[in-house]
Amino acid sequence: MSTPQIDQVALTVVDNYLTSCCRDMGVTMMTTAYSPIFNESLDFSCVIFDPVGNLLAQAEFCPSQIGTIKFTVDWTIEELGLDGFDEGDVVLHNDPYRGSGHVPEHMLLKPVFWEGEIIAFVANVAHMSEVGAKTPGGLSGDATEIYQEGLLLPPVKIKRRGEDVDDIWRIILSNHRTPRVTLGDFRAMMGSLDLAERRIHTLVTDYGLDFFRAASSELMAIAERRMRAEIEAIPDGTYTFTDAIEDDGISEGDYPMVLTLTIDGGAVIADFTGSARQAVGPVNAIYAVTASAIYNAFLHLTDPTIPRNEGCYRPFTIIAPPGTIVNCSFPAPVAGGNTETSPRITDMVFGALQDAIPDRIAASCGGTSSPFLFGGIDPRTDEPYAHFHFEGVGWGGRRGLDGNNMVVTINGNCRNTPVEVFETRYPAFRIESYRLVPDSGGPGEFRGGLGGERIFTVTVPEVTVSALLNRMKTEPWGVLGGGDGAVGGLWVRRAGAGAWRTFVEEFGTMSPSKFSGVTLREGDQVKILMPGGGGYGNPKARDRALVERDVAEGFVTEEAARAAYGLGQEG
Amino acid sequence: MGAWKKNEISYLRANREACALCGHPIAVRYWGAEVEGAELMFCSPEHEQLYHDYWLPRYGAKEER
Repeated sequence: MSTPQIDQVALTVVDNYLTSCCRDMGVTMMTTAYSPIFNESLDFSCVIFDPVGNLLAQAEFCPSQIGTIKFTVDWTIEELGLDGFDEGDVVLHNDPYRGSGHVPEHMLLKPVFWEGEIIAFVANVAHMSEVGAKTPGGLSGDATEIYQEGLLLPPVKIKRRGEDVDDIWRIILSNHRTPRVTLGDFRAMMGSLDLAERRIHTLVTDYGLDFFRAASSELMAIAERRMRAEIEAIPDGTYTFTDAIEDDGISEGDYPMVLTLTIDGGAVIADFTGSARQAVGPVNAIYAVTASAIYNAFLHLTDPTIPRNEGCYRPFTIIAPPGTIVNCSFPAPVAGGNTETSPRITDMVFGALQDAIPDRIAASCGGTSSPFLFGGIDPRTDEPYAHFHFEGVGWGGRRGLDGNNMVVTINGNCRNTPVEVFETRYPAFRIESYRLVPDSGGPGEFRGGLGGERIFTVTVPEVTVSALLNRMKTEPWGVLGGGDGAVGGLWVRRAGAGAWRTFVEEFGTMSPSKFSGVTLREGDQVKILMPGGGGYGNPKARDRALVERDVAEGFVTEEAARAAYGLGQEG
Repeated sequence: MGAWKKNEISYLRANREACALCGHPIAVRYWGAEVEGAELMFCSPEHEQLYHDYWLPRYGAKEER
């Protein structure tokens, strides 16, 4: 068999075809799933792999999932073996200690056969809104072991040769609080895989299998060359940065993370030796999450036109000592590792490289997904409901641009749930206000993005809520002379009461922002404050017209404009 | 001189093996190599090399992992 010669145009066509296929997989899931976390939040990702687990294509989905799914698929193929797959199989897998990100994220993997041989795998991963954890929606902020975070599923076939494996379905549907939604969301994921399988068959029918294989190989080689060239443009050296996760829901101590980044030609070593031992509570990241956060950082720092495939990741070695907060050991809880610790790790890369490549990095983003979970019985239907609600944050300022206002944190690339959808789909709350918070963006020549505030009122007799938020105590840091962004917060006001109180004050939770299973009653109110982003550069160097615009827009108060930016003190 | 080896997946053991360099959990296939009299598990020959070139000079073999 001779290797086909492929010109650059053909390679581009194949790359775009595969990327487009991933996008269409996502559209299928968005439009056919049952839960708003799919339809609105887009908390899922769709990817294509070769038969040995090399990532061939992805699209603009959730960075933390895309980096992590490499490891999930690798483990699955290794554990089952290529001979373990039959045409029409679909494998389900969500076990973090076997390569998944955290328990709510379920991966479905389907082999694509051609003339009796596996030629690719298509996969998606999605955050299920209910997973049978200790409290509705999972992400219990005070979990102390992974068994409290939901039903663990190692690689198991949920479809075998095109037929549902009913025993597996029964186990899942009897463990999730909202089985109807789980069923609908899994069916959407399966439809997405079927679409991708057809698209790959079409490609191979039109161009031939040899062409597909040769193009896949060449695209990965191109991506690797281009990524290494980008890294070579960063000055060789060793760069360090330290940040800390604040409390773990169980105790008040901080958990420092230490990153030593070595740039050596076209290779990167990200070494977390010296980071804190793993936490008792659910802020631990598993290895795949930590690695994914590093990949995410460098994808932000490098040419966005590099094909997004396995080649992008080859220049990186991530060293994460087992038993630490960046690579915890079984059976530590991990829910917040993916939502809270991951964005902090990505930001740490920017912090480490701020002097080396100041034109490319950004200040810290708000660094929390602000997970707020709730569930109960819908009085309209007597059916259970559950939701994983998350929020945006301010992003860090960067050379030439202010940070984004209230965009889901840097590892997510998800969307918030519109107020109208939120109120329609869930009976529990009425949204009283949802707004940007003035002065929450760190001052800088390029200002940090603004955080936000949401207030909602309980409208049912009772609802169970949980939370797992960070950046409530330590500010998102500014860089290169920029100021810090504002911290977030979480408060409750009982029906008829006048004052906002923390959950510690009202319910005796250990942490003000990480807890589970708190019962709120009709008329109670919750206020979530989302952190702002750090500022970039000296605020006094900010364009006066931009400061005046910020004041006019209400992003910055006049007092802050005078104090931080020196407005009115010119000359 | 190392060699590719296979780890047996078990659902009866709580402990997971990890690469001696990077800490990545090992599923089945791993690169086994003898270092200072002990057999260590690595993701790949490249990670064994980095263990010699990067890890040992910085932290030594006795560093708690």
